[in-house]
Amino acid sequence: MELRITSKRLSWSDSLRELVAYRDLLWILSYREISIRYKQTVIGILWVVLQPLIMTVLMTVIFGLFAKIKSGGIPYALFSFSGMTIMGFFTNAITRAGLSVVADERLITKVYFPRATIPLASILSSGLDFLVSLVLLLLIAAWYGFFPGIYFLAVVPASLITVLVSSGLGTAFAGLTVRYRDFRYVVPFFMQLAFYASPIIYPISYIPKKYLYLYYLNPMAGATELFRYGITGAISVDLGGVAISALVAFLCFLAGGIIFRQVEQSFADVI
Amino acid sequence: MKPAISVHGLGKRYRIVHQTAKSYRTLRDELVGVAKRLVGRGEARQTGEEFWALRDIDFEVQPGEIVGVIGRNGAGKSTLLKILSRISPPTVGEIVMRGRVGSLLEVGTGFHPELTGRENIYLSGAILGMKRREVAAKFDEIVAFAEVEKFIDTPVKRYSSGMYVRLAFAVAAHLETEILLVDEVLAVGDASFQKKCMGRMKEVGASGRTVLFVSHNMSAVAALCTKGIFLVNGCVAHNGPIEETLSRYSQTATHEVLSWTGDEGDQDLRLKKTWVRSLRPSGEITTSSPIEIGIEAEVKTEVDGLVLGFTLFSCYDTELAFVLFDDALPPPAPRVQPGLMIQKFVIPANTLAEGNYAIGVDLGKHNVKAVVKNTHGTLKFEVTNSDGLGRRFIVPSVRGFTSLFRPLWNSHDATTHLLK
Repeated sequence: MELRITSKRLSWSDSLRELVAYRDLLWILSYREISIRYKQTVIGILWVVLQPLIMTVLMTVIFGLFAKIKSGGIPYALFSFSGMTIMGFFTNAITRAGLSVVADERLITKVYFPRATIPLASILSSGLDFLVSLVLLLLIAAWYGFFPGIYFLAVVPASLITVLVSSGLGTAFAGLTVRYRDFRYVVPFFMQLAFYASPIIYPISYIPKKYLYLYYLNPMAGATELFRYGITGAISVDLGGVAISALVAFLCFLAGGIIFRQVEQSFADVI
Repeated sequence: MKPAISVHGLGKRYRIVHQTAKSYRTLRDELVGVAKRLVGRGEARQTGEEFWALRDIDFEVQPGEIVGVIGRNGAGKSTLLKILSRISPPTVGEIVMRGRVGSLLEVGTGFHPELTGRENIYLSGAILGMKRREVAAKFDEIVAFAEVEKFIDTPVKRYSSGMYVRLAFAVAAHLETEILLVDEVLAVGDASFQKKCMGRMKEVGASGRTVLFVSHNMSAVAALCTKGIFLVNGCVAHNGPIEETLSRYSQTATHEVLSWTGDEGDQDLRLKKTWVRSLRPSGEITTSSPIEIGIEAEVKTEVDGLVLGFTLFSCYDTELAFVLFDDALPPPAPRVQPGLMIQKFVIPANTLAEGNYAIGVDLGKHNVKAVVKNTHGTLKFEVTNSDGLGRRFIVPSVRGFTSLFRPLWNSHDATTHLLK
């Protein structure tokens, strides 16, 4: 085994190979994140579902009951909670990943490992939280009489789009935060924008037809639609729109990789 | 056989930014920079000064060698280690490593206080580059080495600091890579544990692995390493057998500086003069002469809790003694009125052994401010042994070392009882 260290960064293929070699670290860092998050809390893992649940109750009262937003054949509570579940994954993943590298400053300056494992571990741990919420979501759906059918498989591509876009943006924000601390403030604001730009509190039918393709440029628009279809099977999905979202998600993923690689080498010197 | 580590033309440049104290840039700085460049003032980026922390470094380490990297603070030791362990990229040059590389720059890298001992072993192991099954295979050995069997499922924040350090070192000590880069991790734990660590390091060396050891602790370097690389201002000043390198290192301390006159300090305290001299008429500093250390300082405003004294360093930068003017007085320290203060300290005859020493002067206000602090000494002097005892038999001490003190052993009191 020969290792050559120069001022140039590793090639894409070497970086990926290294990332695979360090997969044990990726798992254990995600385990660390999850286990630390709920240590010394009384209700522990329930925190994962409590926040979206309370938000859902609030939204159901305000938007479903008072504002009477139509949710297209699905009870508003189920409509908004399914949106909150997938959107929560996206928000948590990006927020945590964005701050992850700066938070692990000591590791960065003391030992080498593929830097991308840190933000990716945040994504992975958010993914595990997402699975927990998914169980609750299925229970709520069942309560309203929606049982998963074959359409449930749509949850897989919906989650995949979310993973791609949040890995891309999460690693990009993680890398950029090291260099520009401004991103600490940019990310939460960005998350709020994304929330309102996605069909969480309102159905996609509220968007004027001519802007629809523009709307689907937000990858979470397609992901949420697809996800909601997977849970309830009760809405029709615009496949063209989902394709646009998926494409944008993939581009985000690539861009995140490129940005992260640009900045990761100098982490130890500028953090 | 090909060398385990070869370094060619290695250099690392840092840019020192003067205008801002922070090392990272904000988006605003960047936008302003971009704007300036667009307007056409090309020099907008050149806000800092360049500084080469390492330059033209060339060396090779053969498999199985244990090499000590020594040098004074700021010589570039840590930078070299960070580049070799890929934490920070080089600016120029190339390094080729043959074999799996493990680096230990700190004890307990990645340890998290909330996690249990067991969890931390796996976490720290993974961070150091071990596979899960490698850690699992060594788990019992690690726990036994650290002597924490009973507390393995307790969060490490409940550990005593000794237990914490033992566990952390134990994980690191079981990192089995062909090349090991180590930075001063031995300076932890209590004496008996340090001994255990040194033993472990020797085992590592004996097992035929290549070790690069960066340290301030010359006795540890002397005991462990077979070869040495001496860095001065980011360049290799010497590379050879450890005895040679250590003697080169100690020679750099021999330029005697016996006195200093100047004016240094803040508005309240000014250091004016310091000196070292022999209290023997001939003026020669020998093991059998008392040595005077003098400090002259101006106290401009009344000071409560004056710190005035010195640190005695060996030629290997080890602190041997720290002495203050009010050591012998009962606390609290006397209030000092404005005026010129001249303080003389005397190291009695037959105390220091032959060798090179340095004096670093301390002047400041207790718990408030260190006004002058020469952490590596400004006064340098050599003690010779021209007439004292101990000249005939050189202590066969640890490589490159002689003892640090040389009292007048009471040999003249000896009587001889003849056997009938």
